[in-house]
Amino acid sequence: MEPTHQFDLEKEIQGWRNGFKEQGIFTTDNLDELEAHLYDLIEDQLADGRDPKTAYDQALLQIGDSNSLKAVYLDANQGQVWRHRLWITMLGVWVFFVLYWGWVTTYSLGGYITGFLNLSPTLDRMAGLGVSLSILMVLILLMHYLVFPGRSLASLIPSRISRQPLWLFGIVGLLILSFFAPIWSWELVTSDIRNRAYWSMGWYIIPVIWMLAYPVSLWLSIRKQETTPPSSPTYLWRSETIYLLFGGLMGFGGKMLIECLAFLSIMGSIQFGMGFDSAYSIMLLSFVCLLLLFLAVCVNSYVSPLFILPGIQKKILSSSYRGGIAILIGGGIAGFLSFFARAIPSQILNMRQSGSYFQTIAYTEIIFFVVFSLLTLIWSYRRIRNRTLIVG
Amino acid sequence: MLTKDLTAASSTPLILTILSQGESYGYDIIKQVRDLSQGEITWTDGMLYPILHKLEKKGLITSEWKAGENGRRRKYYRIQESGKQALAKEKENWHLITSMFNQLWNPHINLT
Repeated sequence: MEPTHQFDLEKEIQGWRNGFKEQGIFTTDNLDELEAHLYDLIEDQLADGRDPKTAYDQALLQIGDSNSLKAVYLDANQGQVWRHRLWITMLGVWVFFVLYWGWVTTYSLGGYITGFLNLSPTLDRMAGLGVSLSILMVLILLMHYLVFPGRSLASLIPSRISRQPLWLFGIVGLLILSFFAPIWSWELVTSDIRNRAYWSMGWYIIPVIWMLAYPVSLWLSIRKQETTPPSSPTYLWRSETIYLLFGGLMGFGGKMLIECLAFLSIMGSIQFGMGFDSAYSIMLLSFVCLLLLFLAVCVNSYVSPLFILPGIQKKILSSSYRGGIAILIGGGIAGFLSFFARAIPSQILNMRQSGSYFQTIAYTEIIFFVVFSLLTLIWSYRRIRNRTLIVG
Repeated sequence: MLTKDLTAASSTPLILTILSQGESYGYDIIKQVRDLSQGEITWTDGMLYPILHKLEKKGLITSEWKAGENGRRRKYYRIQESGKQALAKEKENWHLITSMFNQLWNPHINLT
């Protein structure tokens, strides 16, 4: 009679390797090297006449326990760990903008479908742009999918899908859009005055959902942290989701900075035919959003240590805090530059009517978005090529 | 058995010395250290690599993936010119320490 549980050496080694993936500390190169070392150790043990299981156990003892290895590699890979998080955050910013433009697309296409609307040339262009960006989104999702664990299409099975945060956000985003788009489209055809109101509301729905999702997922992560061991397959997925959401908040913050500064210029010039009340309210909202963003940065700084390793929280805390501030400053600079890119043509080229003004806003955001997308893609490509991507 | 601190302090000159004799990979370096010290210096194997990576970041050594005799890929490390200079400096320091202790502990022996 055959034994029910035969020792599968290859499977055990892969399981051991996968255990390290979850923490997001090791690069592919690190794991390849450790794995090669483990094989050498096992080979020597087998040559000494030990059975595979004993050889494997002895080799594990010799190579070091996983917690010590994680701690020492985390120390050595500090920069890479942080760059990985920044990368995920950057993807989050990108996804946020994609969802936003996706909404613009659906909104505009919804108008086409009903056939009752005469869309403005700006909206037509936005629709075209939205379609292009959606294609880009699919491409970047594909890239992300190829980079992350289970790099082949064969891994697209339910248990794996949950480990693809961008896919998840893509799906959630589409669901949100499919739900709201008909309502907005209907409002468009039934009320011209409410049209603008719903348009504005749409601006805030996705960010607000994002903002709600962020603390909820944080809370869930903290709660689960008590019961979920670090080697759980969902561990990295959860912490990466946080960073994605965090990135979305950063994207929203950058946008709010743009809005805030733009409306400050409106207040100064009173050239755009907008009432003080609306300018004030949008400004106030922008400031509130910025405040929330700042709070999110602080919360993230204090919470993120929980996702690494207990016992070395202090070190991570400081680097995470510095990183959070860096992102905030980066967002501020982006907003500031966007403000100039937007405000200067408005003033110099005398595009002071609201139509031209909003068109300028759209173009500025397009430039911002394209540059951001290119940077994300180049960075991702470099990280894949140099094998410095933290595996997960 | 050497203390942890002394093991850590001697790791860089040991690695650089071994690599100055020819390129090598992690497992082989550990085996050499174990044999040379007759088991007195025992590194936890996995701890060696972050040290190697730090030396590589400093530009003292370089690495390259190559297929070994058994066909399996291994990462080989090679010392650089700056690594040789760093090793020379390390040698000076360790000689100085050894000479100091010799004088302190054996005051009648004149090494010069």
